[in-house]
Amino acid sequence: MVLLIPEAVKKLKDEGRKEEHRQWVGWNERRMAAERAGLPFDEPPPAGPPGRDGR
Amino acid sequence: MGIPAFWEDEGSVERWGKYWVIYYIVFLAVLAVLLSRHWGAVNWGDGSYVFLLAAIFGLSAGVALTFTICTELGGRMVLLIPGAINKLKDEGRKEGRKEGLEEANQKWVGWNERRMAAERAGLPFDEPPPAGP
Repeated sequence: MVLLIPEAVKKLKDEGRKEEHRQWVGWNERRMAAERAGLPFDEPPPAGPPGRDGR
Repeated sequence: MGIPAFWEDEGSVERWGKYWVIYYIVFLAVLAVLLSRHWGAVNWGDGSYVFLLAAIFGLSAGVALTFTICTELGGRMVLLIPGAINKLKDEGRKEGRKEGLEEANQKWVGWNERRMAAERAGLPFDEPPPAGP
């Protein structure tokens, strides 16, 4: 981190945020679609960044 | 993966460094024998040239050895530094990305927990999901 300029760090964090957001939006859309169709929805929500939960 | 010591590596600089070490050790041993056997002749009188020559040889061999070792170590460091910097940069990239992922994940996890709590309590939940970055 020390060797990266702040702009690059900001860009990388943004990339991470966008990626995680995309996963959650996808999951939420599938959840709502299942809800609208009256179907059960048992897909677990995105688990977050790798490493924290052993992924 | 470690850096091989210069006496284990067969690179040209290292090979010459190894020869210099051998030469210097042999030189010192021979010098010690000569000095111990002819100590009486080594003085600042008539035999002073022997001592002077020995000093010049010793000094030049020491300087050459030091130069070889410094060149070898310096060269290795120059070669290793860019690799080490790139490794640190890669780690930084991964770390930055992970921070972003964590940040977004926390917002969504909080929202989802509130949604599920409202659902369990049979309450309406109209909080919009977290906005994109």
